[in-house]
Amino acid sequence: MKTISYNEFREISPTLSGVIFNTAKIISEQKICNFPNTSNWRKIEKTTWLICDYLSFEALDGEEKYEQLSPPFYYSVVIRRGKNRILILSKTKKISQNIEQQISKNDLGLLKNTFIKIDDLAKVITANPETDYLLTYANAYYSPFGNSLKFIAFYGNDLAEANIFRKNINQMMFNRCGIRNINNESELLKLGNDGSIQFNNSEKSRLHEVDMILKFINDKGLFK
Amino acid sequence: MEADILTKQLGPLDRITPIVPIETDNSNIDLNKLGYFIFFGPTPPWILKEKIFKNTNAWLSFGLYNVICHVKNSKSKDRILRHLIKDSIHHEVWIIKNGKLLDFKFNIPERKEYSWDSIKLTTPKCTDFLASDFFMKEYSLQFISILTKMSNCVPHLIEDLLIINEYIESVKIPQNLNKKNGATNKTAYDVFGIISKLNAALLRFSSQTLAGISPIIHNPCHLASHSLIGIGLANIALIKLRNFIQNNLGEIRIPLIFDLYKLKKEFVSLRKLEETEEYWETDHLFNLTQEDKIKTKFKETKKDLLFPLATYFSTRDGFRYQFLTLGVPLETLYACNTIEWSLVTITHEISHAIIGGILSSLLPDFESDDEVLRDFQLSAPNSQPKNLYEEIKKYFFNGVINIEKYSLGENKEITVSDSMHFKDIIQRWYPEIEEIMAHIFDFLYFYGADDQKYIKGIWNSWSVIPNISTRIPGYVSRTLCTIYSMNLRKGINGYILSASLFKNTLKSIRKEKKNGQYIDEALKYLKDENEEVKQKILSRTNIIRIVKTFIYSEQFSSDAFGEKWITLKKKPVEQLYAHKMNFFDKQPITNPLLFLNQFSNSKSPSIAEALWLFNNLAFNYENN
Repeated sequence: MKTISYNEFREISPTLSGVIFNTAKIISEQKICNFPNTSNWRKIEKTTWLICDYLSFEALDGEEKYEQLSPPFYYSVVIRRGKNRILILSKTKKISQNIEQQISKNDLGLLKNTFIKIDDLAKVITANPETDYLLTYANAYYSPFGNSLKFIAFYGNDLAEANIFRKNINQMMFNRCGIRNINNESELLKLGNDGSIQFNNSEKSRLHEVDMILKFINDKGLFK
Repeated sequence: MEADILTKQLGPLDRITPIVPIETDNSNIDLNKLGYFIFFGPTPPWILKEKIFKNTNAWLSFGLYNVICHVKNSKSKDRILRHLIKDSIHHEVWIIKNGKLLDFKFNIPERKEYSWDSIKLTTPKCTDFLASDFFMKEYSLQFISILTKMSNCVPHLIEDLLIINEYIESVKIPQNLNKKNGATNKTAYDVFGIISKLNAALLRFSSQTLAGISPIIHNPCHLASHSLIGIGLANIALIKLRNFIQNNLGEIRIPLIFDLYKLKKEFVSLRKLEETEEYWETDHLFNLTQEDKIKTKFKETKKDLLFPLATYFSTRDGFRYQFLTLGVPLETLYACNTIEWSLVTITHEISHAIIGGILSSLLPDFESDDEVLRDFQLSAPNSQPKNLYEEIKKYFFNGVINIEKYSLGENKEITVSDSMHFKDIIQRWYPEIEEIMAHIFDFLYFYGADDQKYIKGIWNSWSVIPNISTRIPGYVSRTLCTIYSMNLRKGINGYILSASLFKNTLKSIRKEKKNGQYIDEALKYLKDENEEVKQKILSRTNIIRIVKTFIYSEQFSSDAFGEKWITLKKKPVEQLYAHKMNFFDKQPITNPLLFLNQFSNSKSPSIAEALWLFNNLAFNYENN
């Protein structure tokens, strides 16, 4: 399989959105390369991540607004496989979900939805100042006030440091959060409790950092 | 998805069950050819996404065997059975040819044998009450029968039954029929009344849930339309809902904590507080449990077991909550996807039980002249309450007197002449006050203070009540008091805001309802009696404040009723869950009430949608 440099990869896909799935069994690289409507598989240098081209006869990125654009459409798709999980990413989450549907048509039961316990994740990070991760964003359902106040969103460099955040944390149920590494000012990724993941490729170490945060979540038992 | 009926002509001994097809394969079944029906469960429907079910026809049912599939050859049948055996899923196979059942085989995985030595089935008796023997024999025999069946098919539910039995074991029945037990305040008649109702509930539970287990042909269900497989899945869903309410709200023990206000010696005079004072918005209930000396006392009182309620579906009773039992109407099987028959309605019954518990402590025993006199003296303007509990009582009694004053059209203070007059006022207004308080409690805790959902929920549920016209003023009053509880800080403007929201929501309900005459009557009443209604609601402010400030806790509410698995979608309609009606997957739920509020909004009943809701309650709900 061909290898591409990280810079080439970053030009193809500067931001990535997608979903994590559980797999019924370990999926071989061979099987991944045979996913329907995919071609031009390449490895991203110094990582275990793969990239390919995905063909769709359905517009998945707003192309329907433009008369001059017609199917088929090609999208870059990035895949990271683990022991019993697979991460499918592309420019938008819709593309990732579409490829999952195509895979499931051919191979029923291969991929299953994974959920991330975002509420527990946000509270674990907040309760443990010594972890390597900090919260940069948190979206929470706030139940006590009915329609008067339903959702709260926080943004910042280190939400746990804010007294207002810690003081009210027990009344909030987080469904999305953003995380950064303690050594890096910029946000690493955003996660949703529906297994969605989103990050940008601003740095060379980004894929490795994403691997590490997913391992952290796994080690804490926060995948469902 | 529509219900399918397997037989066209029913004889008197034939049994049926409604089933809903799942789209796994579109080929038609020919019952004349040899084929196999495999009944299995209880198991989550997403099992059908496994590869081995790819070429099967499959359906969902309401029974413990909640999945039924049909295969044409024994190879496919054996492949499925191997999978079911591997996962220890109960199943039964029917071999069908020429439209007839040729044979059946079933497999119930081995369970740990239940030891009957550990169960004490004593028979609390009352020598004065000759029927006590009958009640207890009936209970004992039924209990053993249910335990035996449950240990084979739903062993995880046995624990609840044993806890109920522990309560029966522990009951001390006064031997004199007219005497009350000091601790429980119950007479022998009361106790046997409870056991009688429990017997009835257990009988229904058993015949509904444990019908249709193997061998199916030997276990009919008494509900004619579910005679083949019973409604075990629906009962499991109901148990999960009950567990959620009991594990969360029950654990908080609100009546117990409310009693602990007696230990609070520092307090303010509630009558002198302005409506915008932060004191009214403070979470007193939660704060009380954080105070050191009270914390210990709370932990001690909390040690008593919470008793799980025996659940059942009823053709006769509506939504009903009584000590040890929880019943819902049978109509919910087909229509719980609509607001009129939403399972959330049960919370109102539970709210009554909790408020009833608080009021029984707050109010004097009306048969005791001493207690009535004591509380009459407490209600006097110059009385000196000794603790916050007494201050709340005084505020409550003053609130009731305000209601009396308004009803008499008095513009000045009225004088309560003596303790008999005081007792008369309290007793006269008690039913309405209890109703208002239960509504506010229900709204704040169970509906998450979502005003529109609440108004739509209760006004749609009232549409099924016959001859509702005479009750309209009372219903309007309760609804307005409830909505106003969230707007108290704004004083009269808060009432205006509440009334405006109420009217607009009623108008939107009216647009959707064909038989909405009672809504027209409510809107007319609000228009014609605008000023009178306003004064009526404002006269009830004390009562509303007591619930909002001293019985409701934001912290307990969010602990008990938060939802970990919200995924907000704002368009086209705001949706809190990613679940899709009629699609089955593992999307979890931690607040089934919020989930039901989201999805019990269809305009017409649907077996398929109701079954989807029951499946989500049974398999997707996880304890927070």
